[in-house]
Amino acid sequence: MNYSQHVPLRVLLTCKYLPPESEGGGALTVHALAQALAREGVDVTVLKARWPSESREDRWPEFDVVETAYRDRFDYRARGMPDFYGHLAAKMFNHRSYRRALRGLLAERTFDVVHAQNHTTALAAASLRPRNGLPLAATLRGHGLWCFVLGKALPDGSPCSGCVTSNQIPCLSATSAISPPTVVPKLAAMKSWMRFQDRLTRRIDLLLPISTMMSDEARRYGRPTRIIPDLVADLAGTTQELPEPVRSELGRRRDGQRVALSAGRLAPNKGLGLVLDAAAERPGWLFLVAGDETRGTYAAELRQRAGERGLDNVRFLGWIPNAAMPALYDAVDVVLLPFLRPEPLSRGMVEALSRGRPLAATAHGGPLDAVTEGANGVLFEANTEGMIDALDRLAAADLTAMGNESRRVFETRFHPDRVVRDHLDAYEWLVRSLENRK
Amino acid sequence: MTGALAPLGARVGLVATGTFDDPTGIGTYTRQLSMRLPGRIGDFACVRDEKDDSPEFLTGTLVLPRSMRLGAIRRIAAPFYMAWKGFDLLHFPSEPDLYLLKSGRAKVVVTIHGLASIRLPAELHEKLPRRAQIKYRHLLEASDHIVTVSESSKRDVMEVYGVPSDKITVVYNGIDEVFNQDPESLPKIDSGDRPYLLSVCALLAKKNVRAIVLTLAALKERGLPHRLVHIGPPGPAQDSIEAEVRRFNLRKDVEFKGYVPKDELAAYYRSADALLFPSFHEGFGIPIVEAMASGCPVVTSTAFSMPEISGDAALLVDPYNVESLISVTHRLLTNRSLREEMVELGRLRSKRFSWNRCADETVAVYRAVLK
Repeated sequence: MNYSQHVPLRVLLTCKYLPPESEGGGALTVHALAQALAREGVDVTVLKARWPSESREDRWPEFDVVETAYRDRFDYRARGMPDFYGHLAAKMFNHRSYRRALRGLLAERTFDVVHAQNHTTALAAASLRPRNGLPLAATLRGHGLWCFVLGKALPDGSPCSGCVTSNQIPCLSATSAISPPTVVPKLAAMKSWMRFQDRLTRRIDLLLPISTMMSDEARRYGRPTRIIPDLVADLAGTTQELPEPVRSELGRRRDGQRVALSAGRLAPNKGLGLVLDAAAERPGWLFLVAGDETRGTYAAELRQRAGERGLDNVRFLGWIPNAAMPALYDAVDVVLLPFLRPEPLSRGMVEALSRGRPLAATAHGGPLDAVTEGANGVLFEANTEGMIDALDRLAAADLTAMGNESRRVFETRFHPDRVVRDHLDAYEWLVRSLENRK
Repeated sequence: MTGALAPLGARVGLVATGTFDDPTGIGTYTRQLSMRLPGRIGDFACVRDEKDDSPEFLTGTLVLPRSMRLGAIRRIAAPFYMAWKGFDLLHFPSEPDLYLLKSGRAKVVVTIHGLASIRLPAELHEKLPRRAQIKYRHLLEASDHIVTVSESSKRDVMEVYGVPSDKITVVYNGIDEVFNQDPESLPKIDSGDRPYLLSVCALLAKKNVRAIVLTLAALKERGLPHRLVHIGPPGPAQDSIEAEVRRFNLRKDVEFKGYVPKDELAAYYRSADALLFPSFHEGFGIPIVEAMASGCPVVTSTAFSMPEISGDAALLVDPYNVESLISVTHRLLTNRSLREEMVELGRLRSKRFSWNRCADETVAVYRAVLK
């Protein structure tokens, strides 16, 4: 199907990684979007960073990939710069580096639309916008545009989820691992950079936040905005079996025990403490925790806490490969999203919707776009009482009907066809608005 | 902190006779303290068997007389000699020279790095004989205070020797400044044209280098181009490790560098794709923090001190599960964002460890003991 009058469009997507360099949500989305656009007849080119030790084999045959010798980490520590100013210098270095690569590419080739998929490339493209006049869209996936201080951490010391290596300005009560700027020269430097970022962001023709939460944050720039969620594959129809250890864990469930799954990064802000509290109070539920246990010590802490409390209804599954996730969703009654802090959009949430699972989510951030109370899940306050109450409501609910409603929500709001169409509409609008201006 | 103990009129000795030249972490700890304590204590001496020519070690070195180098004479005469030198406090940076403990009126501080010889099975580490354990228990009871290099070691000392918690202070090891230096100032290394994994340890069974070799073989089978560079002194496990290298036909993929100077080591860390350190036991694990400071991502083990030292800035694997080491290493090498995240978290983590802080906290222990 051809959605756009302007196909074949020539679209340049800019990003840092493509899978398998990263299995993060951003990289997976860019890859899926590039593939889907190419299938729609769009002439897609992806500008990404080149990593010195990578082989040059063509790993992304569906679309054109241009790699730049962009150096991601400006090693300011090796130059003896203090963290604060060094980080600022690294940001400037990265900005200039992408800017140079973009300028070279745009001089050689013609595009109809530039769509920046991350913060650094969005600012670099915006800095070139007045000169090349190319329509520029930028996806807002996280707080990247507003971040500044490196090493933000939650009050309990855990890294800020979503941008562990990035940096966020007063972000949701997070504290900084590096002292926040309190002295005049640092504040002045920070404000200068923020003003620079603000100025460039206001040059972006169309902001594409991935959820209402991100749209609220985008509003301050006064630019045209369209909410387009991340492109997540439709998992219906995929059939890989569950890994054996998971099957045996599920086999040990007691009769009548309902199963709730929490999948994702194991970090304090993901609300796994609430899961343990709820498990202690509700033995009629079996709680599965899936996530990489090799990253740091939090998983061991969770296991220890569960052991100390004698919770035999909490099972830690470790890291589950993406391919096995559909089968895992099928094997559970409910998917938990007990985030303590608002998350822009949980990829796991969209996958659970695609597999028709009811959701139990804390009432903030991305889940507000997907969960209708009582229809396809329940929303609760981010505390133990809230979670226990949510489980009780789910225990009394018709989970099959809720699952069906989840699938319907996926098809109407998150289905890949819908997301691709929204992108093409946005590109078309951009091209048209530029033509009108001419 | 300069001269912090001078007002007390205290004379402090660091008994480095058995540890100063040790090429492992214990030697590093001893040498770093011997360099940093003179500036913090008015009257300090590093007690050694020999004096070397390095200017940084000349300050306050007390060399035991030649006649005291023989075991039997040393055991009898050295404590008297030390007592005669009038120390107010003696610090034993490791257990080997504890026979010097009863040296006159001096208070005694002992550093315990780890209890691998008690905690690990015999096939992984030589067991400490029962008689020696009893001897150590008595010596530790006689000491005034114990320093451990991690909470994990503290727990071990409390459990094994029954030492009360308030008699033990944890003072973490540090990181040599060379690991934070400008890479341009580091020596050029020939790291070849293939990316490499780094292993830094003595070739001992407890260091689990065999698992690293098996991991390399598995990664090679999966098509990754990496080779292995091993840095560290030889040890009893060398033959068995070399046999594994031959068994998997990895002779061209594994390079044993032996001991290399610190600046060269720093250069190797900087160019490595990862440090593999799946040890069965560590009291601290200095290579973990050295690699983190150098921007090298770390895969280490869930055993003993390693989770405590690496925090959330390393990938942790069960050292007894080679499959886990293989899959985690593969993910780290193929996933750029994971690697980048670990590098950044590692750099932040490494800031918590410094030899100056170690020396300051050690002096604080002396001060408390002398009160």
